[in-house]
Amino acid sequence: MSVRSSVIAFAVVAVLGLIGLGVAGTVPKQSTAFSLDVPPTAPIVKLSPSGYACQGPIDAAAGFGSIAADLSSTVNPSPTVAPGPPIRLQVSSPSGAVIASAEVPGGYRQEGTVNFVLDRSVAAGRRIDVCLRTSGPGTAGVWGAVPGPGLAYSHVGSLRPGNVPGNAAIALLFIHRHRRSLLASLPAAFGRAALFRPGWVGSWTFWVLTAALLATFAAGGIAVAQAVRSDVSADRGSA
Amino acid sequence: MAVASGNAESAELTPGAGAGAPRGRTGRLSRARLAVPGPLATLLVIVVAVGLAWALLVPPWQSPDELNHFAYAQSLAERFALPGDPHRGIYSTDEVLGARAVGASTLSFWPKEVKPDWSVQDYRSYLAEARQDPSRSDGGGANPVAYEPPLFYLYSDLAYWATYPGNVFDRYYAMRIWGVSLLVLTVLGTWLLIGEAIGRRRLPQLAGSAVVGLLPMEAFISTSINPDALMIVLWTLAFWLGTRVVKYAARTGDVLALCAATAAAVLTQPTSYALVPASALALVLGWVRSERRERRARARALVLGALTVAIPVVAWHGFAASQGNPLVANVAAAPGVRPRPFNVRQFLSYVWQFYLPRLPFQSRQRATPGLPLYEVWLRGGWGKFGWLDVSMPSWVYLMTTVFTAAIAAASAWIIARFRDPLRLSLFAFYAVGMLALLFGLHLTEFRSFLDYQGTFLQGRYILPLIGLFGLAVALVVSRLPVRAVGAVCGALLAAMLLLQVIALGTIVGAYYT
Repeated sequence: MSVRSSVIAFAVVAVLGLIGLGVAGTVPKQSTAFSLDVPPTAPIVKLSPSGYACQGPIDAAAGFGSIAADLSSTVNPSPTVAPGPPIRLQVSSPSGAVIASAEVPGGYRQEGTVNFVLDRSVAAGRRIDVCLRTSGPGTAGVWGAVPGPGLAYSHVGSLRPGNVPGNAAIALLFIHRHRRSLLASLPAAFGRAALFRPGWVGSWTFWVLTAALLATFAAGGIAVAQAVRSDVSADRGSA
Repeated sequence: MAVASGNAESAELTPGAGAGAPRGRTGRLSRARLAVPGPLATLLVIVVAVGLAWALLVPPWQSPDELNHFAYAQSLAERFALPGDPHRGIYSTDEVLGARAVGASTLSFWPKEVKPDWSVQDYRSYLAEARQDPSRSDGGGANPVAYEPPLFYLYSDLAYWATYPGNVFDRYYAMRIWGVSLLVLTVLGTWLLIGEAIGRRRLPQLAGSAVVGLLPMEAFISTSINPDALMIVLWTLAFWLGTRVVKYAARTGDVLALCAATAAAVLTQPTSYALVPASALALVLGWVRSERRERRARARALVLGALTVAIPVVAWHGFAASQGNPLVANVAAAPGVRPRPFNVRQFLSYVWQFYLPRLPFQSRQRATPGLPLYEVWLRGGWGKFGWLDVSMPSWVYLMTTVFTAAIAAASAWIIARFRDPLRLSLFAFYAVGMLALLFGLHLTEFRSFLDYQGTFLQGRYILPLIGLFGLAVALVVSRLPVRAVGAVCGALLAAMLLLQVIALGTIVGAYYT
């Protein structure tokens, strides 16, 4: 048992592992631009043939290239029901001008998240409406939630047409056009994590913690060396 | 059978361990022994850094039942009263304002579809509202965690009071950061436990304590506002103190300290009644091991110790009853539902199916997919975050399962070769603690099924045994060939640090990207 071999074993695992995690951290992944923060608790809108549902106006907190919504082929999902119809999604300005659109084919049955990849990106700061329409026979359930009595979701505008329970909203997740790696997302992530924290916390805090986390690897090597030295010296003392 | 306390060296689970370490013959603390060893000091620095990252990175109230636990702590801090008043709301306006602003309740159940509020504008709006000084004392109503004893909340409230002028996020995160101290104490307790059971060999102590301090679920729960955090510390300390009681033949100081730790554990979480049989066994084993001429004096210590447990616990029972608070978690059938009767065969079948594949003739006892041993204890025990729906990549659990299985098999192989009474006594003490906790947990879940309620068990519920897991790791490391010990310990510490990076990266990915 030597300090050198112990620290080398530590360093080999640490360096190889960090390289592996670093590579994994650069793999592009879908990343959220912003969310309406409405949970998909139940199908709140039934889209019948040629029916529609619009949510807005919404201020785009960040640019996005696709929108995820939760759909089912009926308001009462069951494996025995007919598959859901194709759905067309449009992002438009409050005046009705279409900004971007996407369509998903039919065939879905159970409730699940469907990703509408838009034909164009939508820039941050735009005020938009998001509308869903069926473009085929059959009905679809669009999932969302109704807030508690007397409450309303903020930044979601309203749901039209108005024949839905009070203050109901569709669950929509807005996704960046280009996939981003976890490492590339860190500056934005730390900025987001700094909100709703104690006053002294900023995104700098998370950079410092990241540095501290990396520094623990150096400290780990030191701890191993200290332990080996201590045990070797104890063995010598007892010999 | 009786062994004088001067023969305590033979108690160590590894022959020859501890040689050369400064140790009094009676095991009493000396100045040299109180000095913090270098590897421990360095490990504690690492654990503090990791703990701070967990405390600050996890979004507000995104740990199991944290809204309720915060409400309990706030009721104590603001009104010096337990929650449970049916005429009040559960949560204060102060907490509701903060929780609504960040979308805490919604995020708890839909972390994939909903994100914590990322809006700077919303945060500013919250700050403006918080400046109106929303009421902090209008909570304290019928809280689902009102059955919990108050010890953890009082500890946590020290941070609440220290940051009293701030808004709810200042106080909430101060409480979480204060939880880092519990993580540190758990690591310290594990280090002491290993030192007492195996001997003061720094590499096994470092390996076992590092696995405990860097286990992601342990870091997550310790820095959450949750009484489990303090319970884990107290169980770990109780295992250390019980080891001393057995090893040094029930000296008065050790007996009183063990009983105090047991009482504190019970006053932290009712689950800790499961610690009582193990503590009682340690006291009996320690007394039996004492010299005949000392037995009368040690019996007096045992009586004093029993009173140390009984008086505060009985006092708490009386006080809680006077407040109309339940004493244990409410696992009961819904109103109007008639629970099924308890059946021993069904219970044994349920336990079998938890740990082993269901046999063809057994009726299904648990409706969850997969083997519960893996899904609940192994995946959940190593790390499922948020409200248990934020998981690390699957391959991580595969590796941690292989590691856990290897440690379990190797330590079982080593223990099976124990022959001397002291080692067997220590093993009996640990085994009773472990089995009593598992029995209590399984009984509670089985009762929940009988009452037509859902599953009850979560991986975090076995964290009170984490000190024993650290001890098992240290035991295996201590038996490795001398040439390999340092390298294995080094590789293990590096792997645990990498696991922390993965776990914290999972939190970032789940909530902030």
